[in-house]
Amino acid sequence: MTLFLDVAAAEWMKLRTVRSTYAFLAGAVTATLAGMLILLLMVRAFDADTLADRAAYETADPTVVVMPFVAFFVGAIGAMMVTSEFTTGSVGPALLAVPQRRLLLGAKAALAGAVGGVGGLVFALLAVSGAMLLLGDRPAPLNPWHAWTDAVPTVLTAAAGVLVTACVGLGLGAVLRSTASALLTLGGLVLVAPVLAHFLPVTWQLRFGSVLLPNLPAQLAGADHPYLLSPAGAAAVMALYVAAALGAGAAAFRQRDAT
Amino acid sequence: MIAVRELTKLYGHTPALDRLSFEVRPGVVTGFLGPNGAGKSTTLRILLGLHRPTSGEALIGGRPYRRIRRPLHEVGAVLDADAAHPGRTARHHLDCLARTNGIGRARVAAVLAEVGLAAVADKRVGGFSLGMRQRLGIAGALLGDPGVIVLDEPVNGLDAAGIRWIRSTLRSLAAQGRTVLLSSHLMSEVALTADRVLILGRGRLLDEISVADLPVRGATLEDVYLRLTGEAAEFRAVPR
Repeated sequence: MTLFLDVAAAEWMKLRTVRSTYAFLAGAVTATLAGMLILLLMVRAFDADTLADRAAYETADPTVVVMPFVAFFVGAIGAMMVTSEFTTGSVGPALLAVPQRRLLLGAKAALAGAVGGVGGLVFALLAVSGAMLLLGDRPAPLNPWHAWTDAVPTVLTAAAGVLVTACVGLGLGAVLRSTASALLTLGGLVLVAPVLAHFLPVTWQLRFGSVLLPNLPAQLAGADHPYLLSPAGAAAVMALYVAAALGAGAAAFRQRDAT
Repeated sequence: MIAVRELTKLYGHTPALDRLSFEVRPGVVTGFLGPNGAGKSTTLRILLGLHRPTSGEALIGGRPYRRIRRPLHEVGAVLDADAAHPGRTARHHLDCLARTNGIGRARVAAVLAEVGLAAVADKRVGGFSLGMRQRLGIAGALLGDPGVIVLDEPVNGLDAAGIRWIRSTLRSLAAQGRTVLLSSHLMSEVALTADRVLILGRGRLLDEISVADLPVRGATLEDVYLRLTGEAAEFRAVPR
């Protein structure tokens, strides 16, 4: 256990000492601010509309817009934990220091999960708190929450979504080894696939959309959504994503020659 | 003590190593010499657990490298000068390695001073010359004060002073009773540094030579090497 903690501490030090980590976090901050700007424009339009038009507004839950981007940027940090070592050659010294590959990948996975969970929580809290400030005492349907306690499931499940995405990023990194390939695949899963789903016939749109990463947190929260999964079903699909990504990553990381 | 037994490695259907066996003893510098494609780097990568052998085994202190817990205390290795993240400082690079093996920051500062990088310890590795990156790699190899040192082409990119420093460092480490394996394609360097030389060709051990015996045989290391590897060279120039 001491060895695992030392390896995890070293991985945390690696993460803190490269600029790409901060660049991806800056991307997540930018996405959150952009979401707040969109919400501000929406609130102004709402205030300028008639009572009848206000009733047709959609719910202004900022996590719907912000969190897929946050998940992508934090997931990219997970992917870079592996791919940056392969692209820079530093995987050699890393494996000379920790030749037990399952242990090394396990420490990376634990850290990716922690960064994903904490990062997701912070950005979801920022987005929801900002939305509460901007929405004030405006009514439903624009305001999705009657009280702040109503937002707790949204924040927690959004954080869980980012945690899962960070683990998927790490698994993709271990399988693909290339930063470009891992980020393209992660972007496809998190940002592009939900857009493509909209072009499918409605039945298939719902089936396909229900298992896509960005749509799982709302289903996990049991919130108002069009998709098909129960909270337990959404939790199972999230667990499958983590198991499949880390399982494939571990198999590739253990079996293939390192350099 | 390093022991390689019947080591075979196939890349697809192409053999890189063919039932290679040798031992490296402590207390002397052992050179590992061979032409391009002879299998030197493959052998070292298998020895250090980075590649898997097709068959056979490579052991350090009687164990495969992957089974050694906190291995930096037992084995120090440099396989590639470009093996540090260019965006990380030299100190942080070594701190990350040291932490995994329970080595303190004082030791990191000590090895940085030992290899002459103390003044640039907080600079990013991306701005280092090839020679400075080689020195950083050697600092990493010395971190755990190991009993076994494995270096692949360590003098590449070093200036004359750096080459002399490596030579004296390796000889001093061997004199302390450590096991030192030095892979190189530079015969003059191996002749000056090593006590024993393993000559490799097409994945096989062609000969094992004591440098001290060469004058008795009336030959230079170059004579012996070229005679042995002439037939085994993978790529040879055609004489005009």
